[in-house]
Amino acid sequence: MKLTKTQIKQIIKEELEQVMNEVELEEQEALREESDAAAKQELIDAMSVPMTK
Amino acid sequence: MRSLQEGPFDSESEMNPIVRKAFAKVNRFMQGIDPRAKDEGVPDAVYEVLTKLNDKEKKAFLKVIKSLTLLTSGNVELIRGYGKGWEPHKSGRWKSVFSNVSGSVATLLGFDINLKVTAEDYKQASMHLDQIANRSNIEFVGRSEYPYASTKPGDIESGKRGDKRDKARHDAAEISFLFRGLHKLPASVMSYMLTTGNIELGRACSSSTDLKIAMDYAYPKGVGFSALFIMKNPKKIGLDARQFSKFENESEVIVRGTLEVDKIYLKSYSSKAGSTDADSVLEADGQESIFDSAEKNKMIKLVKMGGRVNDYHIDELGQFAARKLLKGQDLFFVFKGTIK
Repeated sequence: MKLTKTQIKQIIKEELEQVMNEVELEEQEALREESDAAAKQELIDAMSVPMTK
Repeated sequence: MRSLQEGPFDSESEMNPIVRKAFAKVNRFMQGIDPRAKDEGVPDAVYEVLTKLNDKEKKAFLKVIKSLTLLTSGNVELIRGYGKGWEPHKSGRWKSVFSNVSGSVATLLGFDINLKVTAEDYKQASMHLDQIANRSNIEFVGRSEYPYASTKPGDIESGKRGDKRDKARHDAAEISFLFRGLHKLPASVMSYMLTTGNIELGRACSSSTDLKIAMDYAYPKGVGFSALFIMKNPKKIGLDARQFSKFENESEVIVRGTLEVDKIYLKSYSSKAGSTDADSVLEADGQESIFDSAEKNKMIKLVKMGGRVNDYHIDELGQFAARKLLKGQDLFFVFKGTIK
């Protein structure tokens, strides 16, 4: 099967987009985990404060 | 965990059965004693219990009192940081952090309350709380265990029958429910609480057996979100600080564990927190994932719109659902669950 230059360009473009999307999702997931960890710690700190203070 | 095992507190420092029982008795015998009488020194019945302990047990008992004192009236930051950040010039003496009765008990146990609270004290208290706050330290003390006939309740003659009734009452009521109020929570923390099904209470969460204390603390302060935890505690986990805390009226119990959230309620602070089901605006299953729970998603959306009820909140909820909220009121979240 022969591919034209345009088809090859299209395939490369699609593959690249897919990889970029995956990277973006991974980054978003990492950011979310980081933000969850920070929120969790903030909550734990708040709960250790006696309710007199 | 290794550092905990290798720290200055070994297994002997955990509440051994004799110290645990003595702690339960002391707590029990101090209940109902006039605070002014407690301020005057160690109550007679408590004296009887403590003087029967051997030196090792006395030391262990003292560690419990010191640990709960530093959390309830010491520097929380230093407890969190295992003593890191301690500054000698800011350090007070033990007598200034102990409640009157704790000071008297500590003195009876051979401790000099004029000593300064050190970084090592904070470190040891932190490690000790790590070890004991996630266990059950509450034990039943029967009326027949009172050392003096004069201090026994009037119906002591009812004997075992009285004990059985007391035990049933103790099992049903004693720290079976704990409450924790929170205020000024940022939206990020609130969203996290709504997302996660299990909320970690941290190494030493300060809670109360008194709903009113938690509600008063949760009172919206204008900034951020307020929330209330209603925590079932079937295993009676926690370190009972009610009798020893400097702030006795706070009915404080220090607890460590995880809150498995059963239900989340959204309401306004002005409504009654106890009647969670009746006047909730939204109710969500605590264990349901945010991908499956429309209610949780709605709550998260509302959080993003701010803590004070505005037109956006009402539009999001719809006029019918939002009828229990008034513009200008504060959103209030109630988490009901079980401590695991």
